[in-house]
Amino acid sequence: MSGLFPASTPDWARHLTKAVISGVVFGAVGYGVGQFAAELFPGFQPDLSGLRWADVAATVVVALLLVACAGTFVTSFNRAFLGRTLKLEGPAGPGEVREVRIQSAILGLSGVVIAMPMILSGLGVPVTASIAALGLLMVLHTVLNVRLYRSVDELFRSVVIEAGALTFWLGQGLLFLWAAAERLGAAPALTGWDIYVVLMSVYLIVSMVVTVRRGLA
Amino acid sequence: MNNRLKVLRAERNWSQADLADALGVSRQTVNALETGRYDPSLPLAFKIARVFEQPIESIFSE
Repeated sequence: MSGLFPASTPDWARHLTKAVISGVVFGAVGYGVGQFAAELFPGFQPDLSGLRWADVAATVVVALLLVACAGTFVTSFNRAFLGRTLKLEGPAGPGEVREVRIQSAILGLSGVVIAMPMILSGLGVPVTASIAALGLLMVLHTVLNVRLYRSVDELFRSVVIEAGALTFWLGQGLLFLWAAAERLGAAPALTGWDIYVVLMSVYLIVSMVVTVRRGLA
Repeated sequence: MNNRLKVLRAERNWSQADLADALGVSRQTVNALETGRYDPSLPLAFKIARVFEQPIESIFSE
């Protein structure tokens, strides 16, 4: 798609254009798949009455993570395209492909980890088994993250640190404002799940911005 | 911060991969350095100076 843009087009404009086009295309595809599924399973009427705003936001975050996981995984099979995406001279090498696949696995696993509490709760799985399954997933997720962090160089590490610092700064600011409003009786109480979902949403957005700013995407 | 990495690399006919290997970083990092999107750490700046056999101040400027 890079051939569509003049060389002078800033990165943010390219990414925004791609995001809008992807949103329209995948939105239409998603609507079509939804319609098809509704015709295929006419009796399927899930009970969404217990759904809260945090669950909806978490579902959006999960969808973003899974789409990013699939996108990076598919891209890793075309070394020439991956090289252009990573702004390299020439195609990506085996090491770069391996790193992208580990990143893809982490993105996918992150999506699964966030979706699991809602899925396990919806399926009525006993709490002890749910906590054990989530604990195992978290261990696997942490191992993959540490492995990736140790294998990359200072640029990638600085992106992780910068995204973490910005997320903390924004997150604590938002949390303070809400907590203050709550203490003054002007806002309803939040649950741990609500706070976590907001924090993850902020982290996702901040990570994308930092990644683009540092020229990694 | 500005730098002359791209010029110095071109003078030596090195690819991004050559320079990345010499510095022990990824090609993405070399690209980010050359395009000014990332300022290197002090250890990496010293390494760059050693690889190009030039003082740091002749490679990087404010």
